[in-house]
Amino acid sequence: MLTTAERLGEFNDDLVAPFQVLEKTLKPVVTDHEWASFQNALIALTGAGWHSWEATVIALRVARTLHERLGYEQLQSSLDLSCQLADRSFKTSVAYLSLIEAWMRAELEKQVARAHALIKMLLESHPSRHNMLESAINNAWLRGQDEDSFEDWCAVVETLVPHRQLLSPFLDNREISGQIDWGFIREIGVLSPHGIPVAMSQTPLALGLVSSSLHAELKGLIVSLASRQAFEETFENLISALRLLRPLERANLIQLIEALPSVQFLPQLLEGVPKLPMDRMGVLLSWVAGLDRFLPVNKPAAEAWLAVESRSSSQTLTRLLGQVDLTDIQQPLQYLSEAISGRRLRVGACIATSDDAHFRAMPQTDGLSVLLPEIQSSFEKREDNFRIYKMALLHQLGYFEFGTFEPKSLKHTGAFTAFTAHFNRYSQPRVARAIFQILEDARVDWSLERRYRGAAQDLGIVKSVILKDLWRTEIDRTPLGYLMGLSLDADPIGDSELFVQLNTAIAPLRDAGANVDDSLTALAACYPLIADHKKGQSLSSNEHITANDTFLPPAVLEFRGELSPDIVRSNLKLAGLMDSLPVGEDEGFSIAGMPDLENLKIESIEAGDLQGGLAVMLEDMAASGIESAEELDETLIEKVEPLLSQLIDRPPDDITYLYDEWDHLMLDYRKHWCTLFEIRRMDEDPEYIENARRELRDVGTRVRRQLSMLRPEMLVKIYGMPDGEELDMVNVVDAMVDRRMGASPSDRIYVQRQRKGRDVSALFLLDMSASTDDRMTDPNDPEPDPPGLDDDEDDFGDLLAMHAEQEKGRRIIDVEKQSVMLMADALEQLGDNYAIAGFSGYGRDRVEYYLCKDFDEPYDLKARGRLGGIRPCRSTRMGPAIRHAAKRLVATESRIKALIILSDGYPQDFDYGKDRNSRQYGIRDTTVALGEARQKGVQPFCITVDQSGHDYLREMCPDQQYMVIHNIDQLPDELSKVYRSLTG
Amino acid sequence: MSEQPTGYALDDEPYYRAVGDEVEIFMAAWASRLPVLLKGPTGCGKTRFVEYMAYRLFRSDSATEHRRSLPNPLLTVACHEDLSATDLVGRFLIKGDETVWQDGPLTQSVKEGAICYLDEIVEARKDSTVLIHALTDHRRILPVEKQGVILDAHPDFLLVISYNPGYQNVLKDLKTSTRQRFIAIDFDYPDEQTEAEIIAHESGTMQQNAADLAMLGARVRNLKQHGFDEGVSTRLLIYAGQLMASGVTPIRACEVAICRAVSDEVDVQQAIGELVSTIFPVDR
Ligand SMILES: Nc1ncnc2c1ncn2[C@@H]1O[C@H](COP(=O)(O)OP(=O)(O)O)[C@@H](O)[C@H]1O
Ligand SMILES: [Mg+2]
Repeated sequence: MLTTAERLGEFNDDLVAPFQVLEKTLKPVVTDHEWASFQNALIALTGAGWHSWEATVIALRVARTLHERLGYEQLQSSLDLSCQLADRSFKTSVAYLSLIEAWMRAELEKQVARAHALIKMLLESHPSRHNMLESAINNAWLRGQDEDSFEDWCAVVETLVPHRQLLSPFLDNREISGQIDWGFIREIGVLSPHGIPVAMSQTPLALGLVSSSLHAELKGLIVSLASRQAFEETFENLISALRLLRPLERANLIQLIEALPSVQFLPQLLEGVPKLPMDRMGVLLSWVAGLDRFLPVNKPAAEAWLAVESRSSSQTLTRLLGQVDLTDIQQPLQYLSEAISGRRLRVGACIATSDDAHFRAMPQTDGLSVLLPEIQSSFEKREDNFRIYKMALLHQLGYFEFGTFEPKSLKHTGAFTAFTAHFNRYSQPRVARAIFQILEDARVDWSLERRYRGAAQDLGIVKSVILKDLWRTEIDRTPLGYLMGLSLDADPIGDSELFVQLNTAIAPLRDAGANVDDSLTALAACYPLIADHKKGQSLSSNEHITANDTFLPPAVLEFRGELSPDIVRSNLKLAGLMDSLPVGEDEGFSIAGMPDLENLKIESIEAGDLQGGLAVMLEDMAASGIESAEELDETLIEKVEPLLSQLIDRPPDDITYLYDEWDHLMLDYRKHWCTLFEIRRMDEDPEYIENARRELRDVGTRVRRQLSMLRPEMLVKIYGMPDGEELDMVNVVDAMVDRRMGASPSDRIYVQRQRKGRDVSALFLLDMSASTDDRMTDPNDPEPDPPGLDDDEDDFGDLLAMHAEQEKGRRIIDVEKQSVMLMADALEQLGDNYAIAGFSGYGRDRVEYYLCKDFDEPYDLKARGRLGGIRPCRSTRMGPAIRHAAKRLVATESRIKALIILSDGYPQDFDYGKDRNSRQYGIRDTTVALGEARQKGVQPFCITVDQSGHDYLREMCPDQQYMVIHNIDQLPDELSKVYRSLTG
Repeated sequence: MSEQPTGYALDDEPYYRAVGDEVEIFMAAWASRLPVLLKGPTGCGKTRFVEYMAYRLFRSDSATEHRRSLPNPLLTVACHEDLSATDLVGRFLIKGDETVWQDGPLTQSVKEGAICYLDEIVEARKDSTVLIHALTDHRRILPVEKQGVILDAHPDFLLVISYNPGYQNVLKDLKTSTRQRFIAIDFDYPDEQTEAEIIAHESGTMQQNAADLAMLGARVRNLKQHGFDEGVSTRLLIYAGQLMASGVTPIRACEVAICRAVSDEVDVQQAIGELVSTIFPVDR
């Protein structure tokens, strides 16, 4: 029989010597039985599989110490486990034993038993995945370095064992991050194994955003989120919310979350964060306490409250802090902007995105719109907050009014990047740009002050507040800080020579008539003073500012915002170009989403993709100095057109309105929930009306006859008047008699004819939703056409099909249009004031109200064309359309205001209510909108054209304000009856 | 009550600041006795212009003796929807024992040779516009049906009408057949500087306020398409100036004279309020 040494030698010679050493060192300290088992285990390991002797080499090396420190039992089971591992792959086995060896060397032997148990467990549950085992072992080596957290790490792995798809990536993750708190991850794992990877990747990000004193709280919060639905999404939203806030506000957010009755509401709260005054903790807490009144009963109301979507919620906020919401003042500011600038600059909200360089989105203009922050709450008082808004707007408008975008000195340096090119001529273009912005801001404010005495007072207040703020920040002693101070009318500080020099350079900008070229000149004077200022303090400050990606302190930005002159110039130029394009379609467009022109290098652009296409267009125009449409060649127009259709945001002439919407679940209005676009530019098809008129001549006559019965006696004779066209013979005789009898005669002896007009305004509102493309079903013939009939190929079959098509019924939209056309023709004769509009849209942000004919507008070719051009579009969000129509009707001040709605009876929009499939939300909102209209003295009447499908309107109107019509022949009688009852 | 024409003795020369060549055109029209149509928004100086022209033609040294002796050289009728042909031509009244005929303003000016100014002609009833036709072609006659006579117009008679196209109301548009009988002079609000001059002169407020009021007017007119056709008239600006001249603070003066008057829409009112406080300082 061979000795163990000999048997080992058969596998590999290298095993012999180490074994012989063990015979001397290990054998004496173990029992005979143990020694025998040990030898068997060695043989088994060595023979377990291909190359497993490599594992034996390590086993031999480590056996003595392992026994010495952890006892025979551990030695034996380690060898057994190695053997099982080697059975699949010698590499895992080697890895395992190396792990033990390393730990021995590092005196981490305490970990061995724990790792052993873990690996055993992994092997049992996933026996065939040796790669995974190997990474587990390698990872254990890594994680075992920290004795304290190793147990937690192992527990995490154990939690993941049943989840293969989570386990592998987890074990592959070798990231050594001191920030991973395994105890915390373990806690997450217990609640939700799926939360582990999320927590691991996101937690460091989250913690990095708040000061360390908040880490424990934040972790607690994350743990409580882990077991909830959509953990990952909520967590990500939490991080982006934190990112947008200033440090202090982040702490407030965490405190606010803790004040929530339950973290289940966190998603809604995060939605609301951009609208909340995150710097005003007291206000936030009082506001969040307002939730109590909804809970636990009305969850939707609570959610809307937190998302600041309900009217009551935003009213409460506003009351609490004098915060000003842009939406509340948007319309007046829009008018103010148009009044001052004489341009159709849209006033809108700038939304802060997480990759925004600044904490907040800043006031800015792209030439087509002026964007302002959504809320303003820096001050306690509403008045002060409003002042910032107004001054920010005036400042932006000031750029236009005082010629910022029309430099004469830059005229020849390229159309679209003139400013950028100019700044690039300085050695530090960013510094040059910053100086220029400060100078130009100063000039614009001074110009505003000179022209507007009222604004001068307000600007003075704003400037002095900001100046106080500025001197408090670190920027104060930098050259740029001096310049900023000067631009805010600071008094000289001490006798700083630099201050005096800068003051001299900037002085010409105070003069009346200073223009943007003077600012460029002042830039040239200031630049050396600032950029080349003695190295040391000033430069390091500059670096500091550069790193933050802005030179301007937040308070200044809130008021003066950002200036991107090249973008404005490009947009204005393009807009001008488009206006003069000879293309027939006068679709509007906005280039708000244009690529960053400032950084666009014209030479480096390749044609092809959209941006490239745009760039090529710019390049072409810039290169050829094209100023007008006549100079554009065909090919360029071809390039421009598809591009424009991509760029179309909304036609600039559309006027927008915001409407609240009723949410029946929360029993409150969702504030400013819908944006309605009143559209005047649309497809025109006057022929449609002419054709329909011809086709429906007989019906038209009937309608006119019916309605002519409404024609009032235009002149009414009134007797016994002191004045009039004719003598009132009865009274004349009386008067004569009186006189003869010596009494004083009455002088009321005339007949007056007074005009008694009809004081009626009617608005016809047409549903233009996609469903109106359907053909009307004939109630007498509910059978749909059997399919397959179309297969008939001969001409006769075609003819039949065509005929059937005609007979089967008109499209709903056609019936709507033709009905309104008939009414319009009749009303023209009658002389009633009326308007026609269609509505459709997509989503709450885009309700479209197509105004075909306004009150007091002639029913001319254009108006008829617009009516004829109406076609099925998208959704049916009835509420806002009804609210808008009612508002229009009220404005007519007529005694009788009739709103006649023609639809297929089914309010629907993809976000009309959170539950897509529930129609309740839409129906209830529409019901409420109809109620609002009635309250304002508008009489609504709903006509459902076709009742084929879902006749929801019936639910919304009382019977006498509601009717179904099945075909156009019914109309003359029905519609005119309706009209007569409404207006007679 | 019958329409009392506003007779105007025109003792003093009315202040009128010419904006374009309207004075010359009017003089030329007068030379051939061509009827004149003044087109333009309300409160932009049409009435004042006619008064001024009437003074030049009837009161200045170059005017004929007859014209200078005419007590009422300008008869103005503010038309309204109940104004009928009778009101213009005249009617029988009972005075004491008998019925007496009283000339309407049109008849009176046709007979005496005065200027008859029909302000806002489209407001009047249709039958009144018919009268105009015979007077405005070469015949220059006025049929007085009730008296059964046809009057030849005095050689100095001149018909001037005004019309505000801003209403944009089909029902009240001036008929082409009527419009084509007149020389049309377009009026609009004057440019800022001219308007400032006018405001200063008419209201007596200080130059700075007048200039600012003119600026306010120009800016408000940028909002034309939003719910009000005409913006703010020179007349309203003058009112505000007059209030200021008598000690009302500028902001308050604009509030009462302009903001409320211009639009009913709350948002527009608020916007104009903000515009006012942008332009005028708060007294502190
Ligand atoms: N060009 C002008 N010159 C002088 N005053 C003017 C002028 N334009 C307007 N006004 C002033 O405006 C006021 C209103 O003008 P008015 O002639 O009554 O307007 P309209 O007749 O066009 O409605 C006048 O009383 C006058 O004070
Ligand atoms: Mg007048």
